[in-house]
Amino acid sequence: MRSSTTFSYILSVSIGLLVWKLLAMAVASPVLPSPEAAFSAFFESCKTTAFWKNFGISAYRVVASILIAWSLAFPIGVFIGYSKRLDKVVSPMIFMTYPIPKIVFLPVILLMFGLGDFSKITMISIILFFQILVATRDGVQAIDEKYFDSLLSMGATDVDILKEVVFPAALPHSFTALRITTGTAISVLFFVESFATASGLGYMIMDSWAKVAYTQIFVGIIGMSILGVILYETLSYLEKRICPWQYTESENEEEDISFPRPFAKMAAYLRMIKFNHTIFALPFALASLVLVSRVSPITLHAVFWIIMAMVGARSAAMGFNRLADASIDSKNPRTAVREIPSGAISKTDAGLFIVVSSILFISSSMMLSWLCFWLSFPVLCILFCYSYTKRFTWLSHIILGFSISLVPMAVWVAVAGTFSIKIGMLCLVLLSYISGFDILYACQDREFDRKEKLYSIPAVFGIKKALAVSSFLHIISFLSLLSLYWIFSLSPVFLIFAAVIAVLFIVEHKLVKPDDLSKVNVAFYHINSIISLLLFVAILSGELLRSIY
Amino acid sequence: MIYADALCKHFDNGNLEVLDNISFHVDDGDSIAIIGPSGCGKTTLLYILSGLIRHFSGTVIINGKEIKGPSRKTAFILQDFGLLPWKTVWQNVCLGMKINGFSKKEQNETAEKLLLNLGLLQHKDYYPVRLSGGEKQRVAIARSLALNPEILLMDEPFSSLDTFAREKLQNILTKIWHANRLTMIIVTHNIEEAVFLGKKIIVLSGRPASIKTIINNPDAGELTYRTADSFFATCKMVRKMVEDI
Ligand SMILES: Nc1ncnc2c1ncn2[C@@H]1O[C@H](COP(=O)(O)OP(=O)(O)OP(=O)(O)O)[C@@H](O)[C@H]1O
Ligand SMILES: [Mg+2]
Repeated sequence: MRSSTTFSYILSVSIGLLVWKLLAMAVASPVLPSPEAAFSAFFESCKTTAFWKNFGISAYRVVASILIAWSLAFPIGVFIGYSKRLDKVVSPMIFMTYPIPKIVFLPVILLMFGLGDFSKITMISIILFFQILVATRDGVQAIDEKYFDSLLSMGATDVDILKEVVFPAALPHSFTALRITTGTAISVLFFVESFATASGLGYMIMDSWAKVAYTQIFVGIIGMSILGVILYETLSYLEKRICPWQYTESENEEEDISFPRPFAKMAAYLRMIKFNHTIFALPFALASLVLVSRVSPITLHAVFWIIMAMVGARSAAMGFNRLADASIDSKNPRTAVREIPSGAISKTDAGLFIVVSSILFISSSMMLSWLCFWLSFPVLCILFCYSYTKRFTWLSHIILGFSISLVPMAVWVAVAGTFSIKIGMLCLVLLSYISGFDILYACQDREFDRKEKLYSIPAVFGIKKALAVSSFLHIISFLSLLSLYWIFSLSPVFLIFAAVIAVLFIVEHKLVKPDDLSKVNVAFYHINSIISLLLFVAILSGELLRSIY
Repeated sequence: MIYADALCKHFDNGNLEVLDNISFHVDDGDSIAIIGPSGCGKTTLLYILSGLIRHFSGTVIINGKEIKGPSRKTAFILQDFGLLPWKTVWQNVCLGMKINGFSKKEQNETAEKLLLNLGLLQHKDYYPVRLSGGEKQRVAIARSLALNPEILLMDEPFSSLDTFAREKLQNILTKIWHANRLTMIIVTHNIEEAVFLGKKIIVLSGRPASIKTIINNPDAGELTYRTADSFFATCKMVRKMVEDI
């Protein structure tokens, strides 16, 4: 759940960055710097107090506005919604002024309150106020009368009804309004900061513009975007904490609530490529990066495009897998809720998604080197072919492990420009690790796979043997992990982490029994995240501390 | 003792006549089942008895006093539960006590006892959306019992349940009824339910609702009654009455 939201950011940001990069290359003018240039300027600015002062001032202005707007609009909205008499008087006034863009009052406010923070905060608050007010009022009016009757029959007073029914029923509505208006709040913030002030991100942008410092403009833009994302996410988090009853329904409904309408489709895409095994490959990529740093220096440029390539490859592979399996998924109750079989995303849309992701992968590879560019095609083939192996061989688990295990090697090639047998051992760790628990997952689908004549080790050889094969693979995984100690002559600290990983593998296998597979989902997800993280920490510390011993 | 005499009720400034001269009485610890066609005015009748509707003609006397408004001694379970979605099972059960200013200690003791009796203690921190229909209904019952009422009014309490859950809850309800010496009025669409739970069965005719017959049914509330021949005979009789409307 959480992770797919995180991934949503990564994917949309990646595609955005790619388009930006291509545009920058096409325009080839200092007006539009490349994303790397903008981001390195951004990181440079992060080291200066001036940037943080501007960021802090802007944050203070929006947050104060949000707090003021909410604390006024919510109670007033509740009373208007609850009292029919008040509503008759106040609502026509609100609705008459509603279509007027409130920003036109800015000159009036500046004249009244001067040029300081107060008038800026007032302006933003006014705009937010009306949005929250209307949403709250509508929320109160939508409350079913039966709740009032039920409380009245217990002897409740108006105060009880406000406290127990009206406030809690209106809260989520006001929060949704807040969340949706963060975009507006940031735009207005920019507007009010763009003149007659000497602080804030908006000022920073305008000032850089005046100084023809184009890269600095983008530093300001990135700062504002980050501020917006932080606000939005904080509000979503608060909403979940304060209104938990909204989020106890099934997982799917939950996600639809957390995404406002325009993002619902986006959310469906993200569910389509839901987090699964592939995420556990990321720490392996980083580990490989640590190891390759011995051979060649690592540039920000390389790291950036490696991440982009991974995002692209992963999305393309998952999307293709879902598309290829749509007809199979629709028959299995465990997977029938997936997006293509359930109709949330059409096949054409899914196809388009795969094409875009593949382009992201191929062009990111091209940014790395020509060798990477040429290699990206066979890699894409392997990623796509995996989807079909389930139909003719029970080795499909190994093929899945193999396609994911290309990651450490790919990172090595991207940075060093050559292949390496040594890093092949890390690939083997990943291969046996992934194949091992893919078999465990497949145990859940055994009956279904049998019926549909699909090949998997549990379906062909039975659960008991499948568990044995899985244990065997994980033993290989551990042994090859251990061998890295000698191959790369790492510090003995590495061995401590390796031991912990061994324990976690054992715990994982103790959790599953042939007659009880219920633990496979949740517990596994957590343990696997820890294992893959530990592996990265093991290699990182093993590498960093190597020189000491 | 509940006395209802010549109750009449109009909506829309007198244009819509809903209740027409309804009179009946219920002795303490007895029960009445009210059955009648949809939209005839059964819910309205319960609203009047609970004190939620104050404008009507006729008189309602409960324990010798004419009613003036809702009372703690009368609990009302509304047609669609009326559980608050933003409160957990526990908070829903405590709601009536909270409103009536019970101490925290009293609230906790009563809620714990009721939820334990109704087999809901392990769900005490759930929000209603996560409960099944039968569980929700048990929470609603627990909540209405929390104020230790003398009269229990129920509007189609089990209509959304399947036969198994329905009969199970009917049995639970009869136990509670006897243990707490409640006086109950149950509105229902289900003939078997009316016969199983109502010592008197009032059959209402269509809008405006008037009393068609009152059937005496002294064996109601015995767990063994459900399989007795007299039970089926009474059901048959009620069915005939209902079909004639
Ligand atoms: N507050 C109201 N204002 C106007 N008309 C009302 C009101 N409440 C109920 N009515 C009307 O009175 C009639 C009886 O309603 P009531 O809810 O009492 O029926 P019911 O017998 O409980 O129906 P059901 O079996 O479907 O629950 C209906 O026609 C309804 O539309
Ligand atoms: Mg009704």
